[in-house]
Amino acid sequence: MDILVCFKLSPDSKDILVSNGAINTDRAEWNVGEYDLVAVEAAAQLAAATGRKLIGVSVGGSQLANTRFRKNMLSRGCDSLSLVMNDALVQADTHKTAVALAAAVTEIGNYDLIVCGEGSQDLYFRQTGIQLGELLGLPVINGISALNGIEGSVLLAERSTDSGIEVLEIPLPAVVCVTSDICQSRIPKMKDILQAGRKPVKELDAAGIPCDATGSEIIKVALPKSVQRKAVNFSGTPEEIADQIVAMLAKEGLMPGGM
Amino acid sequence: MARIFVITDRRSEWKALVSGAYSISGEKPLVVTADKAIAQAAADFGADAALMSGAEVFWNYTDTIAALVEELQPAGCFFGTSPDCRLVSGRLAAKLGISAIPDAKSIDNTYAIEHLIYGGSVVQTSKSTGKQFVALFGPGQFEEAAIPEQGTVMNVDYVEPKWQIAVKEKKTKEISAVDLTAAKRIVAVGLGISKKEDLDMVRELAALLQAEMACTRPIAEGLDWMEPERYIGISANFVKPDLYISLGISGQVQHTVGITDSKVILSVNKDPDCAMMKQYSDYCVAEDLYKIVPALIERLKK
Repeated sequence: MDILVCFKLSPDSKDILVSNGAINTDRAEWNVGEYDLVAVEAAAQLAAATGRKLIGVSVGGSQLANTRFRKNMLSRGCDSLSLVMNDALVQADTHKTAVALAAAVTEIGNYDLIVCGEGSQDLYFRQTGIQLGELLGLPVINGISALNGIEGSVLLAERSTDSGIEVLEIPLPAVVCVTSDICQSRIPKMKDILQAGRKPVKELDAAGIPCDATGSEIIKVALPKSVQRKAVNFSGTPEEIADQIVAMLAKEGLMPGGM
Repeated sequence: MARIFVITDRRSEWKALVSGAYSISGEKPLVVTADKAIAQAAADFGADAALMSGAEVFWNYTDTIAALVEELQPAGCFFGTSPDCRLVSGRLAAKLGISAIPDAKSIDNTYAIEHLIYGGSVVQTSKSTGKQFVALFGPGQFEEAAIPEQGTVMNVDYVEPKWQIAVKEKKTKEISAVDLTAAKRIVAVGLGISKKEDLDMVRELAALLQAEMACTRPIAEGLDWMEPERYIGISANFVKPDLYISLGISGQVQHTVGITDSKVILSVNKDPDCAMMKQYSDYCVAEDLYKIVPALIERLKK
């Protein structure tokens, strides 16, 4: 059985503009967020440790045709990629993405574990993997902070919660969402990059994949409220600055006991 | 208007969620819980409670909660933001054919929900396309206010889940009792702090100012120098202190979205051009924090 790992190609947050009440991604570089790269690495390590193949899965718009993106993901331990490209999936919400992913992984078949990251870099809902598991009717769990191996048809894992660590036995097939600090993402080596070009990429027939299962409508987008700050500079020796800070705290009524 | 369900496994969260749900719908919320103490306290607080039993882990109540939503047809569900809340809300949303909206900042009486995307650089307002909405609220989003009525507690039939994940062992850690969202003064550190031991001087400064210690995400996750409960930003705490002091914080938007509601912000950073100093501070000290913090400690001791 193969391991599947899901990731999202999305516009980089730092290049986002809001204009005329809409999000403008024209100037944005599209890449895969760090949390997804961590998930790929965690899945790649488990695949290597258990002698399985790792298939990278992504659903999205025509940006997925980018060869640099494909080679990048293939240089991180994926043996192949399976992609669904349909522009109806650009800026899809969690439910729409999960429905498309569920159809895609069903078509791929022959898996007993699907690994997802903590959340995408753009929307960061931390929900898609969970919805995917539920839609597939499979055991699904989030917050996985260690993948310790597979014994028979059971995944041994640890989960990070409010109160500590849960040591879990997860019956396969299953969907797991890993934490952003389960491991460090990989810096691909030259050998990985050269091999990536020879690995297969499969484009699934988008006609068979539902790409319209929107679960929310966007009413409005705006910039967050900004507060005008005074930006008064204090300068001098450290002792003089300390005096200025204490004088400021007194004036603002912020000295301990002086409120 | 229909009532709203309040669902959380954290004892610290349900009161604020009940207050928020009541304030927008005007109907007594229903607290859905597996914790007897919460159920009784919720009834005394003026909400009704649905007490679930039969499972050892919270996520095994997903089918029970879904059946209750189907039966009672609430307007929607307010969840907290614990890992179990994220899991159960996502599974419930999948069953309802909608998207759960995480880390909501506000909700109005049409159930339009404001939330942050793109690392906090965009505020989006979203509405569910289904019969119900599902929203998750972090700490500090609503003021706690009891409802002047007595609620009732009802028992809920357990729906057996279709699968089981076995919890073989629980390694508990000490739970941090800090509530940054209620703190009046906060001293926060970023990656300008070069080693864990140096937090001692920051701790001393915080004690002199009667302030809580806080940090940016990399200090808590990755470096593990502080408890995760102490980091401020997009995926954690949104604070509103009277005084916020930043030490060696560059001011990435993922952090600064969490401090917008601070009254006075003082920053110490070697780099006068970083975003924290240029955009987010009332008072700026363009100096090495390793010089300023000790001097300030000495001055405050006088």
